[in-house]
Amino acid sequence: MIDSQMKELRTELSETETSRINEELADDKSLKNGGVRKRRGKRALFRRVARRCAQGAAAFFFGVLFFYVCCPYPTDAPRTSNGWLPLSVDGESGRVSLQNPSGEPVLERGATRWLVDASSEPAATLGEFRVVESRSTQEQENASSTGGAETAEVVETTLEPVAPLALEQLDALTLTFGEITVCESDPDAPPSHCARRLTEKTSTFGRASTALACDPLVGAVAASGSRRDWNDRIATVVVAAAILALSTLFARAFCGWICPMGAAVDFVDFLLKPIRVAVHKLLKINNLNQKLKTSRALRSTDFRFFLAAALIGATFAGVAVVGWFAPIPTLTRNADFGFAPFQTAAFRGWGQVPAATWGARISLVVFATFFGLGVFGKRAFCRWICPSGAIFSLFGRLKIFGYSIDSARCVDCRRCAAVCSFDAISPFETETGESGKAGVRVGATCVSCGECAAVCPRNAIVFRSVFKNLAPNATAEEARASSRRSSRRRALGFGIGVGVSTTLGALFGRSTTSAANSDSASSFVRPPGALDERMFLQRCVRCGECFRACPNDALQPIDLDGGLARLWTPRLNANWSGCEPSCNNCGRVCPTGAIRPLEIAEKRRFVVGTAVVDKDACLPFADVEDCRLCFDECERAGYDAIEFVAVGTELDENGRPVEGVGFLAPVVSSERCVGCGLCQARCFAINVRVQDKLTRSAIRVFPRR
Amino acid sequence: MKKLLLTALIVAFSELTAATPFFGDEIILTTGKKGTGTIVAENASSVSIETSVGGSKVRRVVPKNRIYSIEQGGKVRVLNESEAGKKAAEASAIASIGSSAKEPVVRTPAEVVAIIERAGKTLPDWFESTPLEYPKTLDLSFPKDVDGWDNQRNFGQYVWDVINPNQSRWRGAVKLAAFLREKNKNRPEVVMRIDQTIGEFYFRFFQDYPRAAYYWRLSGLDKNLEAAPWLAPYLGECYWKLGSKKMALELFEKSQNQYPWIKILADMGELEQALELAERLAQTNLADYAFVYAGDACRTAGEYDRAIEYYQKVLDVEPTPQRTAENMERNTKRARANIVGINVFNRLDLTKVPDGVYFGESVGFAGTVRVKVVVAAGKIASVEVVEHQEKQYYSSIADVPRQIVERQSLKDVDAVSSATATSEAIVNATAKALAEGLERGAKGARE
Repeated sequence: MIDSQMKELRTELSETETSRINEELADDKSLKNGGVRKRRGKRALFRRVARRCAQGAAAFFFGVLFFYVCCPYPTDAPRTSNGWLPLSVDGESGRVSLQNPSGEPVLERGATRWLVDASSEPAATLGEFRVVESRSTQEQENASSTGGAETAEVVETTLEPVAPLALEQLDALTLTFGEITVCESDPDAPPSHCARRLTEKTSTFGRASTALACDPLVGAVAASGSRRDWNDRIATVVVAAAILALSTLFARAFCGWICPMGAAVDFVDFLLKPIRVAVHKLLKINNLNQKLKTSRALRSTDFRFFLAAALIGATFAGVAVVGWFAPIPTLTRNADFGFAPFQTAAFRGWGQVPAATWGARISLVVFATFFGLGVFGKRAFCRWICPSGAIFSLFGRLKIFGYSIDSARCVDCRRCAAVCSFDAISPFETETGESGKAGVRVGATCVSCGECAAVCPRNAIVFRSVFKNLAPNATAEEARASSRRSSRRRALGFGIGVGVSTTLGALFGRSTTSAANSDSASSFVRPPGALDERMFLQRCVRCGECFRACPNDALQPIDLDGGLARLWTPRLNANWSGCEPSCNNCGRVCPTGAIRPLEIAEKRRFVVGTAVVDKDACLPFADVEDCRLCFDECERAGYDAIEFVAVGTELDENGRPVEGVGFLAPVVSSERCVGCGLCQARCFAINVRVQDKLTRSAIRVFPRR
Repeated sequence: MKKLLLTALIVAFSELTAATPFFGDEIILTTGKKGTGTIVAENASSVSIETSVGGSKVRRVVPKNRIYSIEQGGKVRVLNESEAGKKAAEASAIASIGSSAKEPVVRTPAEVVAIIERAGKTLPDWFESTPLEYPKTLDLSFPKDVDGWDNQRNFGQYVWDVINPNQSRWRGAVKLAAFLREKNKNRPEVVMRIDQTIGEFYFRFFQDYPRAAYYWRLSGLDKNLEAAPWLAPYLGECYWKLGSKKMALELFEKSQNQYPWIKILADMGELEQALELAERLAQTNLADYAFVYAGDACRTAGEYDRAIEYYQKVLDVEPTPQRTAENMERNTKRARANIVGINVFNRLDLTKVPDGVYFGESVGFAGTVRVKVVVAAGKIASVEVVEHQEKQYYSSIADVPRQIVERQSLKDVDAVSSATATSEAIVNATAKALAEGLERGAKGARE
């Protein structure tokens, strides 16, 4: 239907005709340099610059969201310093002067710190304080102890409570003479520094998933499903609806002006120009006519519509594979696979970058292929594959503003058709072939880029409301009528194609998910906050945002070993790293609510799996040696889910156990274990990688059922 | 040492806050917070108390309406009624009983028994809130003889395998034992063994000497040592810690051949008796233990040359088939580490250690113990165990570093009961760390 004009181009322009047009143009006084002019006036130039600026700004914003907002680094934990001495305390207001331990610098005035009475048992938090003054003084040391007068630098810091203290805190502060510990964050709250960084950046730049929300297919996935967790997805749906509305109003403007993938394709197309010219030469696409013919042939496949239909079919049948080809998830996913490792390396060194997975390699190869198509024609991905673009094209038919060609002024030079990256302009000939003069019209694939208007020698192409009729023109009317007749025939084929591909997609979705759901051997641990597996597959668009947001790269893509349904979806690779307790980033960057955003306290209770001790491998269980790596790691993270049990106990002649024989081995408490995988990561890092005592981690996390 | 008359009992406030070397007046606030120092001024609305912080005198002014009691010059005044204050006063009185004071309190046997009876009849404040947990398969009848080893069935084995290694379960263990006692209250033989166990829990897990002694006496141990001869030295330790060396020595007379007595006798200052016992036990197959303990005893008494002699003897002991190779090896390692430790810290002059952060390691009960020592302003600012493989005796991991910082010395650090090896390792490792600092300082001075 979109390409209903294809049949209209029956004749090729002959060499003589081309020269005729050029002669005609040469007569036009408004033309310079014999009519081959690329820019037409300030307005066209302005439009072109504006479009590039818009694309650049959108791409930059996208980059900021992905590489800055979503990036978890640096992940400095809040500092605590011990040994501050309380020199004076005002027992009424809680104002306190502390002497800094040696080496501690002066504090910035106005900074807030938490004070802890380290001398009490257990240590008691005294509350949050603000630095009033912090200064360094030279102090004469006691001459008798050192044998001579020496000066030492002493830093003294005065703080006062941020809010009035509770009586207990005030009393504790008043009569504390022992050491005070100064903390940068509330010592009683679970650490949340990773989460806090994301909150700060989000409040400045917006949600990291905003860019993804622009994609109508991501929006459709977010909008699908129950209303239960609507809050997690509403932002995505609203942005997607807004973009779709905008693109409907201004004929597919998103693709031409905003889409960062489009901008990237444009840029690569620019780089590929010499190759493209060579390829065209090789394929003997030497002139405009052959070019039009070629692209017409490619266009006629309507492949992207069928692809979009299949993907949507599969998504609604249970597996959100739209992200395989939808432009924004494709871009973010490959930005993660291709560029994020360098960013991680810059912050933390190459040692902290996990090895590329096969999933990532496959994705990058496919991604490169999308760009490589540029050797055949400009915007090849957008024209031939992009399923979101197909949606925009469909909605673009309802456009209110767009480009149209004034047939009265058109001289049929077809420069516009040649310059159009999207093959949106189709030359046609009236059926009657009256006066032998052909015409051109703008189709629904137009992205409102305005390149055509810039090259039109006669100002025949203008951006305007569709309601504002051009001067009646018999030729154009006739062409429209003829296109209407032919589009009926084409509509049937198109409809059948869409129907078949939707069905095939749905069948694929149904079969993969039912296989995935019955696949009880699945050993993939999902991120904290992930929906149950069935819902997760339906909601996860494989955008890779959670990989980038994960501070330890604990989340990694599943390869083909999870089946096609799970390709590029996140799993916890606890051999590499465990889930950072101070972080809840993955749920907060997920555009579709496949991973729900959780508060830190909630996340620390969210069970993603259970650690299981492999008694054949575990060093104490296997009677090899003492080892408490997993215990220490679990304790440090504050889960306290690992206990010890004595193994290898020997009895003496009286049947009493002999002190000092056997080992203490780890036991996982299933009530407390959340499956974070820190234990597994530790065991793997030390016992497998560094010390080579084991071939596999002796404690491993499995999804809990 | 000051004494405070509280009801009929005379209770010593020995080392309430050992960090403050000067024991003077004490203020308890209505919220239960305590502070010690010298009361230097008082007016109608406030009290000023002065103490030393980091070497300099500091003063705090406390409004009188927030004070529960003031103890000044041995007299106690209660200014405002308060439950929390009252509790704090009582808690400090109980806590002071048997705390590891450098100069132990001396009490008459009658006083000690009174303390034991009084404390033993109360339950610890955490008892109520501690949940009762045990495996469903546990045999609640606590039979004396069991076949095989099943830590989910037999209480003793459950304690050994599951309770002992996990500090988080220690309180629950007392709760569970009390539950078993109630279940079997009509079977005196079982009750006796449960009381022995409860005593052990209080002793080993919490160093709660009055309650440990109470339950051991309840089981009849003081009258019939044959019931559990291995507990005798520990009951003796309780008596001594509570102030009666006499009772401890009487117990020793009745139960001679238990090698833990070596350490306890040495702690009580009876070095010669300790060494005599060690020599006697050295004739048995416990020679390595006997010599290690004898070495420790000499070290406690400050007789370093003799200590090294005994440690040297450990290295020469012929392994006997009855001893497990592991224990033998452990004692040998310990002896070696202690020889190094003594050599290091005898020539250690702390004031010459330059400020800095130092690391040192030594051999503990189950492996390497590594400590981080921070020296600031010519003082040991902090000692922290950064790496260890020790099993059950976590209390020493926190307690010994605290003692070192408080005393500013490696000598006379009181080993946590039944965790001597760990305590020693921490001391030895700290000594090594400081020695390294000293060396660095000397090098710096030369340059």
